[in-house]
Amino acid sequence: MVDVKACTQILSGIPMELLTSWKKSIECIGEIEVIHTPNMGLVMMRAEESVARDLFNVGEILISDATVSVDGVMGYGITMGNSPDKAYALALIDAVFHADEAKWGSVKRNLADWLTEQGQEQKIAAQKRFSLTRRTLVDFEVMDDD
Amino acid sequence: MAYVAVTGGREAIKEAEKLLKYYRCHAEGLPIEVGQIMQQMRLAVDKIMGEGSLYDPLLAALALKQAEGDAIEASFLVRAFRSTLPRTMYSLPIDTTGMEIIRRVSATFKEIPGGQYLGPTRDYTKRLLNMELLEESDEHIRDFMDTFMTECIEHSECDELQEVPSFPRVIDLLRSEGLIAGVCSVEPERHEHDEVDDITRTAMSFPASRAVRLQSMARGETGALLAFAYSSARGYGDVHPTIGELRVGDVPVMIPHPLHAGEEICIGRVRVSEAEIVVREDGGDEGRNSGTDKEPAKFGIGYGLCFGHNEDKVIGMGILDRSMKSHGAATPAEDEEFVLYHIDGIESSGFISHFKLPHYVDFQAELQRIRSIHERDREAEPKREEVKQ
Repeated sequence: MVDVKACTQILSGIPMELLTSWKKSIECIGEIEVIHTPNMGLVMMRAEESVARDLFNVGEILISDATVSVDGVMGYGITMGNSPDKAYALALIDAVFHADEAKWGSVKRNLADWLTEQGQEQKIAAQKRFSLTRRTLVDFEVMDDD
Repeated sequence: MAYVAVTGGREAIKEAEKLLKYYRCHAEGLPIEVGQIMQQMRLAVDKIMGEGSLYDPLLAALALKQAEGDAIEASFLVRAFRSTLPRTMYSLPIDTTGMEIIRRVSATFKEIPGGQYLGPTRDYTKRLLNMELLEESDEHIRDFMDTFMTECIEHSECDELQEVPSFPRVIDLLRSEGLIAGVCSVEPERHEHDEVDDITRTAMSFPASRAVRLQSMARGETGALLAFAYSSARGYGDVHPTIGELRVGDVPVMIPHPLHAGEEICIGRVRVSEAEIVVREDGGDEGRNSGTDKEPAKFGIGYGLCFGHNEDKVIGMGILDRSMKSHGAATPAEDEEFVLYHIDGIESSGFISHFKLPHYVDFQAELQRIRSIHERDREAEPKREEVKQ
């Protein structure tokens, strides 16, 4: 069973150029039907206030999303911004995540390995980014009276 | 009185549009690229995303270019664009405790778990114009970047790359001592189709729910929020704020999978600013031990969160969130109807702008009225003289 949440956290940070080869290989192997062509839309972002835990709507995020069927298995792809190609590629990948047929076994394994590598690269990139912030950590010194 | 349609001016309007473009383009030099605005005017871009209520840095930068830097006009363009698109769904509530922070400070405690990170800030720098920027070139930027990144790499080579920490909330220190009022101590049950008041679907009515107040402020105009919050803190109100925590950073946004129940999809990461404002709430000064029936004094928390890096806005939002909870609004900042109806920059700018449009019929009626009063006074003057004599 694929952890869709963890996979999409990694996939959302991957540029379309790196997804092209996965898109092509899924299109070669499976029978694709586009249920809902990639389109722009909005997702209203919600937040939770920290004490009373009241929910509220912060504002909308521009997204692109698409729905496809791969060998009869539905997949949904969504990404931030105007990126129809990426939404479509993510929908194909989502359908493969949910496909049970044996023919998708090796694609799923390769995809999982690749996502692990990508996740590791993203983690290092985040650590490097945070190392810049870490340099601004405040080291308080108590001032003496004398 | 009725409105009268007038025609004419079509050619003048067309030419005015061309002239507007001319004013943007006539200066020598290359056109500003939208990418440059997005990268180098990040705070302006963030403000437009917040006030336009649409998160997309590219479109916000484009709007800023089109509006020649007029932030309210740019927000208007963004919000108008937003109205042409369908809403696919609501996200799950973002989790700001998992934020990848770029800045985190507290004014309540010196030592906070996880530490204070100043991040990219001008708070401690002199406000002097940097004349060197007049001559800034690619080479200057490259030199700075090379030096800075070398320093960082040398430093990080000494210390191995460390895990990116997540930070507990500073107000948890007060919460653990039972000093925070209105704490929700149980995990709220959330359902996918929970109704949350949404001002983009239903017009505001009063008294407003907390959801309405927070949403309205999250898309409010920074200057307006700042002015109301300042009035409250300076004396026209009863809120004496201390910043429990201010954090800025990136959070993942999750949605429920529309096809596979129980699964979640990450759509990407969004930069947000968040502030928790600590305010003392009245109670018996000495608490229950004083022998009164009053609740002991506690701290209330005002909350602010908006798109992008906009510290003034979230601090103002937190102060107003608290001030609008005051009983019996005695000052403008405590009156939720007054605050919420006047903080939307696009509405206020639209209303003020409409005064520039022809009001010929209204004004003719006013003119006629004033003239008739003057006429009547002139006619009455000789009679008054007669009466005096």
